[in-house]
Amino acid sequence: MAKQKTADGHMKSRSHTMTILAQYFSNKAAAFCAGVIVVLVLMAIFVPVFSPYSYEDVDYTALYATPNAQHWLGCDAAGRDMLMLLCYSLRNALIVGIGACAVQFVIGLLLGGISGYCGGRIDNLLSRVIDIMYGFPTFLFNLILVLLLGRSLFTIFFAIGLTSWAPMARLVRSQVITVKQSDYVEAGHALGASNTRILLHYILPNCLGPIVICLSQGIPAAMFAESGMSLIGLGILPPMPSWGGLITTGQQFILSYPHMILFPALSFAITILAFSYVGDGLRDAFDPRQIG
Amino acid sequence: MPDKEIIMRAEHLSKYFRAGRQTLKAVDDVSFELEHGTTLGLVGESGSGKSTLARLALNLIPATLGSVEFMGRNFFKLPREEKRRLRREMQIIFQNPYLSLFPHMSIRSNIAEPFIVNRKEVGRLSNKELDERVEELMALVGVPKEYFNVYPHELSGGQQQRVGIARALALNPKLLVCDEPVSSLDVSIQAQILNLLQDLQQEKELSYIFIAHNLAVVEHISSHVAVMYLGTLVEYTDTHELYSHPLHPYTQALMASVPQISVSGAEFHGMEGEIPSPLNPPKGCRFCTRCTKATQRCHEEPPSYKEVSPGHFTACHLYE
Amino acid sequence: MSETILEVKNLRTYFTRKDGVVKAVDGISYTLGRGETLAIVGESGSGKSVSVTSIMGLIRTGRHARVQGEAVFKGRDLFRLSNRELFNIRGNEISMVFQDPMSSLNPTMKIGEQIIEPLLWHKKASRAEAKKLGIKLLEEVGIPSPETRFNNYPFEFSGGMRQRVMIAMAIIANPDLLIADEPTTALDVTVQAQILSLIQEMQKKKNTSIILITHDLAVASSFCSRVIVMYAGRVMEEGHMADFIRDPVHPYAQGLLNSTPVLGDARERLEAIAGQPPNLKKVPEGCPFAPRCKKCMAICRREAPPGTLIGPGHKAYCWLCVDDMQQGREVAENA
Repeated sequence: MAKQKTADGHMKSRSHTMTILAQYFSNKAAAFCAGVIVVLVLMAIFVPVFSPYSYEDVDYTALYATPNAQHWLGCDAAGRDMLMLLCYSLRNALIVGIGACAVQFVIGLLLGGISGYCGGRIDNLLSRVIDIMYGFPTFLFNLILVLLLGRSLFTIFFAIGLTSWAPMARLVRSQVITVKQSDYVEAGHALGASNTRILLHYILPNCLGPIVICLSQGIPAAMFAESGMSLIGLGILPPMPSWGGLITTGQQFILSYPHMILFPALSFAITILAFSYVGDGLRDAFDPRQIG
Repeated sequence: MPDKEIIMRAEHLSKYFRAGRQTLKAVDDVSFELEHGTTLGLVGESGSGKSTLARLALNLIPATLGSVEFMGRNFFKLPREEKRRLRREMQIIFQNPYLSLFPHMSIRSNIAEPFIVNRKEVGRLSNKELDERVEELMALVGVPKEYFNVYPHELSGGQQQRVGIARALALNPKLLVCDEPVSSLDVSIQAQILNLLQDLQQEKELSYIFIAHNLAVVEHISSHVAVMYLGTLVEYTDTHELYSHPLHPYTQALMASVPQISVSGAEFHGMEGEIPSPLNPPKGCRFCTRCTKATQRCHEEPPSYKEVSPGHFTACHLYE
Repeated sequence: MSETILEVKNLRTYFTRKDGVVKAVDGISYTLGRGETLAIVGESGSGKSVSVTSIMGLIRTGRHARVQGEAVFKGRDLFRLSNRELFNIRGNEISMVFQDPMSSLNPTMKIGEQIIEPLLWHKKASRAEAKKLGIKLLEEVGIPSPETRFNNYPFEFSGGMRQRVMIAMAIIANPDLLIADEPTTALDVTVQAQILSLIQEMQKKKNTSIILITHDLAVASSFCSRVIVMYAGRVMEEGHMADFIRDPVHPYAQGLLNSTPVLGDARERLEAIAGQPPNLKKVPEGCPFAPRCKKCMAICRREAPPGTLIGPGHKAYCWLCVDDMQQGREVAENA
């Protein structure tokens, strides 16, 4: 086998992660969408820095303006630059999406991991807790939490994460249960590894596949949850822009100034679609049958 | 009779599982001795409990009843720290070598893991020292140096098993449980691994508990053999004696059913019936439903396990 | 000499993967007579299973898989038949028993239904007749209380029983050829003997031709009258079983026999074949076994050896057998 060797005579090799990444990028659509997301993130960070306008700047001469040289995507009812509004909305949506997923991840990992690894009564108890969370009316609860905790970005993604960790927990639990029975975990026991080491070093690294996929699907889901709240006026607090808010406002002018709803809706859709494709791409990349 | 050094003595080991109102006796009252530097072959078909028995001996599964004396100490009753220390002296290699290696770690990390896990006892080794130890072990088991940074899925089955052996021998254990280590390997590779195990046993004075369902492999590598059926020990003696004078009808039938290389074609001699469900074993002797020599007594009373001739134990009414 | 029912000519099956072409079967040829039993022996990667699934037309050919050569069954080349014609042959004139009975039976269908399917599909009997035949066959293969068990589902059977059901399903339409692909590997040794005994009995009763795929030389030699040893998709040695066992010529075949422990074997150490199984994407030039062969010569690495007849019906693909290579060998050793 003509593999390259390093200086000390060892063959260079590809870890699982590299194999999966290679597999992922061989899927053109998924690779493209990953690129789209990178572009979006960069936009969200850098466009506000380089723009002459802030999202708050009101230009009384450009109320309801359609796309023109000064305002590339037009303005809204208050003369605020649409492009800026969208960039900030994107930024807020990403914060909400990623933040909510982080909360889901931590809670889900902890509860699912302990439940799956310990088994027995602890598993029974925690599974019931997970089942109860599944039955919760998450939307209602999000609203209640936000009303109680106040309407900042943090409380919004915290609330969403706090109500939607159940699928992640269940996923982690089932993964842990499967992996727990592997021979290499038994080998770890025989070598004298402690329970903590086994869970953190042997089991969890091998559960990552479905977890990563779940996370990539959780981001758009969280974005939807927030926009749902914005739709009824309880999402991100204006004047902070959000897609939900823009769409709600733009609804009224759909016949007269369609650009006010078209651009927010389009940018929302593109982002969600990009994440969807990435999620699908990841799922295929992790599928062992697809490799080679 | 020369003084034998017994490295492990298991007494009345049993493992019962509760399934609703029924009890599954996976292992039922099994006792054995393992002499230092020898190989005990554990033979049986599916449901015999041989894999469970080995794990009971290593305390990887808690035993329902019974005790194990290892290197002179009562293993199950030791305090946790001491048990951990003694546990290092007994290791295990598995049937499916790919599944027993850490898939997300390179070969180097796999073999180095025992050192890292036990750093309290062996001391914290620097990366360079670990690399050296790993290379030594790889050379010991015959894995080329080049595979240092390679991942388990890139190796062939035989190489994976060698890595498994290297990892198991990292901390110089005295006892190695081999759970069907060659069953999933090709015949030509099987011989390589068996030779390796024999060489290592000589070099390092290892004791093996060798589990297999292939009677010829067990005969080749073991000095003593224990035959199990449905969780109980039906016969035990040294290899030569067992294969030339099998006493228990199950052992005899087992040997008769092994196909032999023949020049003129041969008939196959199967056994009547199927292995009964372990949830519902026959009353009396567990083998009575399939035994060609079963009597009324066999169906009612389980036989006791006793020494029928010097060093030859069996549980059968025919010999009482 | 019995009539030839199957003639395989230069069968090649190649799979195209991302990083190369896997030559799973690379040019094998053999004939099989009526009532004959042939063993195809090899290890993993030898191509033994792929060769028969290719013949049966069970490989999805297209962009990623190509099957070439001829497989003439009762005068017709199976590779030239339409799907409809192949369908009429499978289960009817040629049938197959697979390795893992757990996954070869439909878990949601009663086994009785599954057994009589071949008869119904090939319109060989009415439903009532088929059922009677099915029950009789269940009894013949050793399933107790066949009338009741006819209506059971696969999960209600043990492994050995399921394999018996598979055999019943395979022979119910009285095929001319039965292909058994490692039919007992997943079973306990006592059950293995039962199943092999059953197949042997059926073969004698109905004079079915049998191709038995196995890695176990002991099973092959007890059962079959002829043998083909495969390695890396090619034939290494073929011949009558008795000749082969008495005097295997190819170093790989010798290695296989020497590395198998047998009961009563007094050897302290087994003679292992060095090296690893071949990488089918990069089969070396010349003889595929050369990298692992103790008797390898220079020419072995350059050119693939031709088949040499060393006895009646006994052929080996090895340069050692080619007479005028003796001089060549001296040259190679001095080179």
